[in-house]
This record gives sequence, structure tokens and C-alpha cells, in this order.
Amino acid sequence: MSELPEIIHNKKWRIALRAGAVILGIGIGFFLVFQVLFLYRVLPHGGVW
Amino acid sequence: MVKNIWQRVWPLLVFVAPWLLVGALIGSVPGYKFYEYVWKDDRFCTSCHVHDYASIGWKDSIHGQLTTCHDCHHQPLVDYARESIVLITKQPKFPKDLHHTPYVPKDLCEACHVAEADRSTLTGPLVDLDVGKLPKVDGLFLHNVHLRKQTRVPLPSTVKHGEEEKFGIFEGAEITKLSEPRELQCADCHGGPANRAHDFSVADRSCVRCHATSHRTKLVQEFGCRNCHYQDFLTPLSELTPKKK
Repeated sequence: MSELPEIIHNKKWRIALRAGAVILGIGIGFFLVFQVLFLYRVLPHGGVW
Repeated sequence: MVKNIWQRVWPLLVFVAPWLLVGALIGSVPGYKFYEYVWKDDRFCTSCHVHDYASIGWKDSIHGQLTTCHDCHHQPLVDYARESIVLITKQPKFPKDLHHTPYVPKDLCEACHVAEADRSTLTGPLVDLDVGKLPKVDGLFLHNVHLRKQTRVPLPSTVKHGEEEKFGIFEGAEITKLSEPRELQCADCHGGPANRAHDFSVADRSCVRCHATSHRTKLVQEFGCRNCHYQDFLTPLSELTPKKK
């Protein structure tokens, strides 16, 4: 296991990283769930992108 | 060098991964809600697609009580992008850009209303279980008869609207018969000008396109076609008398 980066030792950066990860995760979760379900419904309607 | 970068980034990824996962779980809820709104709620479509009688026709019809837009309006993915571009660059104006009555392909109706049909394009929102419960017209007497017939009368949607018809007057369109007979489509009876958009109930004017000379007496004028023939369109084949069979 390599050493933890300096950034993780800084409390403010740790909080910022976590908050950023959660916000990014919300975006990814939103996009993936919507896209997968929507494509699952639309793709059988024919046509190729 | 790549190895060096990876060694620095890897612990960072391990550190943020659980929070990323928590975020993804939180984000999946509005993602699903948005999908439900786009796919199942007609308000998503009607907020841009402003109809007049088309929306009213759909809401008042039997389809309005069971289905929503995506059940029948099947389109490939690329058309969603194309629609957005058209909406911005060349937005059609109603009714002058309505050049013909809508063309509803037979297989679209058959997917729900025929017993042994290709249902591969049916992706909801109406659930499969409910599709199974819908009446199957190939098992009904006069529907079955019509589904096996051919005609030389052109499909209503292939008759172009004249200037007057574009503004809502559909009477007296001149019809030139086709040189070759074609299979009868659902839209021949359920999608003519008499029906207007999204109202698929049959009007007598749909019958007389083919059956104009069936009754030479005043009987039809007085009672209409469906007064006598309606019930036979709903009579199951299994209930037919031996004579009709």
C-alpha cells in the first residue's frame, strides 16, 4: 500500500473531497439510472443511433 | 511516470469511492423519478407539444384512460435529437403545417389488439399484463372479416389536405382509386378525417369510403351504418351462428 497523499491528511481537503465525491456521485447515479432505464425502453423502438 | 501517477491517485480513489457510492445511491432516486416523468407522464410531452383537439381527443378516448404518449408514439433514439433541433430551427405551425391525417401503421395497433402479434416494440408504460387483457380484434367477427380484406380506396393519410382542409375542413376530398388493391389497415376505419387526431372511434363516414353503394335505400341516411352492424364488430368468432361462420 502506497502512502496516503498529503491532501487526505488535511481536514478541510478531506471534507471537500468527500463533498465533491458525493455531488459527483449524485450526478453519476442520476444519469446512469435515467439513461439505462430510458434506453431499455427506447432501443426496441428501432433505428440505430 | 504513469505508475508514479497511479500510485498517487489510487489511495485518493479508495478514499472517495464510498462517498461516490453514497452519492450515486442518492442520485439514483431523482434519476428514477425523472425517468418516470419522461416515460410515464404525458405532461412531459404536452408541455412542448401543444395540441388542441389531439390532447382532448386522447384524454376523452379509451386510450386516454389506459395509455400515455410513449405507448403508441414509438420512435428511435435519433428522433429525440431530431425533434429538439426542429423545435428550435423550424417549429411547425398548426394547422397550416398539417399536410395529411396522421399515419398510424397497422403493426402498432396489432401489437396490442391482435392475439398473435409481434409485441417486441411494446416497451410500456402500459404493462404486459394489461396488454394481455385488451380485446383482440382478430377474434371478433366483422373486425376479422375486414382484416382479411383488400381495397383500392387510398389510405386516408395518403390523401393530401387541400388549403381549406389544412384549416380543419375535411369534407368532400376527391379520392382517386388505386390501380392495385392493398390490404386494409386499421387506420382505414379508425383513422380517417372523420376521426381527427387521437380519436379512433369509427364514424359512419369511414364506412362509406368503401361501402357507399351497399344500401341504395334511405335506410343508411336514416339510421347510419353502426346502428345495425356495430354489434357484429364485437361478436366473438366463437359465438357466431353456423350460418355466419
